[in-house]
Amino acid sequence: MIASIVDLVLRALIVLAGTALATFALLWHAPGDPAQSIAMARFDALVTDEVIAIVREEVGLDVGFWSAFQSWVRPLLVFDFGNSSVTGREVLPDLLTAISYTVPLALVGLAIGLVVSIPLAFVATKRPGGWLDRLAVAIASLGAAIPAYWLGLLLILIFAVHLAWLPAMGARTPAHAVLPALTLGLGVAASLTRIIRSGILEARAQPFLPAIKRRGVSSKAIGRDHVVPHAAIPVLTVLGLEMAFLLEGAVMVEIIFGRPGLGTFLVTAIEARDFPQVQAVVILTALLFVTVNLVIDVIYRALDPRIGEQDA
Amino acid sequence: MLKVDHVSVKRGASVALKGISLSLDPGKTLAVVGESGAGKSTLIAAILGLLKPSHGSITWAGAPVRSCRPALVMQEPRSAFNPALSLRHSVFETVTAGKLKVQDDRLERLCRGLELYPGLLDRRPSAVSIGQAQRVGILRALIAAPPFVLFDEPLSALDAVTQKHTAKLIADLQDEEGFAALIVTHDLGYAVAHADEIAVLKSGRIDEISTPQVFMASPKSEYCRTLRDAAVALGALEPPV
Repeated sequence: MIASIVDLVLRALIVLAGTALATFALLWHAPGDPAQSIAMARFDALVTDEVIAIVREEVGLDVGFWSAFQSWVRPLLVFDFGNSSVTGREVLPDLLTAISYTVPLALVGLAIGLVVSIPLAFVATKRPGGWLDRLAVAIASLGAAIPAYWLGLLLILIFAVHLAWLPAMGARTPAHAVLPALTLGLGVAASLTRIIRSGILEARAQPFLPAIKRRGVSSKAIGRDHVVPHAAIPVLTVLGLEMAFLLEGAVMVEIIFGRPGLGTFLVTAIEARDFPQVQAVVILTALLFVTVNLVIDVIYRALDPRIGEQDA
Repeated sequence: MLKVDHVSVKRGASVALKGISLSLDPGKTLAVVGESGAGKSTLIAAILGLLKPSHGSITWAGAPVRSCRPALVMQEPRSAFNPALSLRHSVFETVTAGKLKVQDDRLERLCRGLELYPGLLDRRPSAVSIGQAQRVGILRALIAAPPFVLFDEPLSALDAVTQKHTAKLIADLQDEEGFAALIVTHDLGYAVAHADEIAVLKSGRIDEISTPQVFMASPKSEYCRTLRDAAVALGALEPPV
């Protein structure tokens, strides 16, 4: 077990290193002159070649790709994200402020997704093929087919414009988070419902279950030992992917609902080619993903010891 | 005792079992033989209550069969166990969850009789051979002295010598404990040697039920004669005297 966790951590480190290199390369090679973009973001006007040259030297764009990459990556190893190329301010405090808006929103979205999908999937699997099951599948399919930006606008139209129950923009009060969280949560609920439902149905169809059920093993024990662990594996896989959807969705939802957070932070940074800010967001997001996937891999191994073994 | 009374079972639009009647007393063995698609597996599923008869009834001592906690030896040994758990867990979960009693030396005796070394039970199903998995399936079925055991092709995955030893162990335990055994098999040699009665299924109906002696000497139906002669020609049965 320890050996396989070490193996997973090593793989995670390779993913992180790859992400760092890919992000830097993409920003470096994107069309247009990054020094010019930074200068324009700083001075908000047409800038002269001299100013662009000064900016290029100041932010370290004149030393070549590998030297620039190394000088960025080294401080990163001690979690020093450097200073913004545009404002000159330290990246980390601004990034943490943005995260303090985004992460709670994503977590509430995830909670809504779980609270809706788990009961819906269980109700659906009570009688597979029955009208409740078909209804649940229809709701889940509809939810998966609606993109977050459209659902967000729809919710604004209904609850903010027509009913005037909730605010449409901003982040001043908890009420401001309801519609964004619902937009995120309903999307998550749709895909989770489908995967939990099919996971349960597949787990219940395992061929050995009738033999042990008729021999007196209770439904509760069958659920605990055979159905839940089997159904949990695909659900965990999707949950890991949903974390990606949540962060990506949160960025979009923040822009739709005019909320501060990683979305605004990232879009502003990309427009200005603010290398340290963009890289900080990407690295932090990658770190989050790698950690989530690491945790999921460890849970996989606890649920099904065959995973990761030689004879699996 | 098991009583199957005029049972018909539909599977989709077709009728898989048509008016089946048979009975099985404790301590006795009924072998159900017939070609593929004759309805043998459907009969097992109906007896276990996994398929509901469209007509007729199936009871054990007047109650639903599930009340006697029947044991099942499955045809496909690899799919008979949870692949994520050890064989030991699978063998004992019916014992612990069902609060069944197991004599202290029983595991040892069964393992010896089935030629399973005890350490094998700590492996998972994928780490043993098909024949070993089949014998663990028999071990699981017999570990807690069930009153009624359904065997679905119990010996098909075993070599000839192990087949002989396993068949003898099942027969010895049955003599001692008196469980009723319903054995679905293609192996007419095994059916003739170990069953008290042989039921021949054909296209969802019972073609004939007879003792092995009658089946060998003078089967009534043309189909049974053909089956017997084919088994003799293949060397699975001794020619009738």
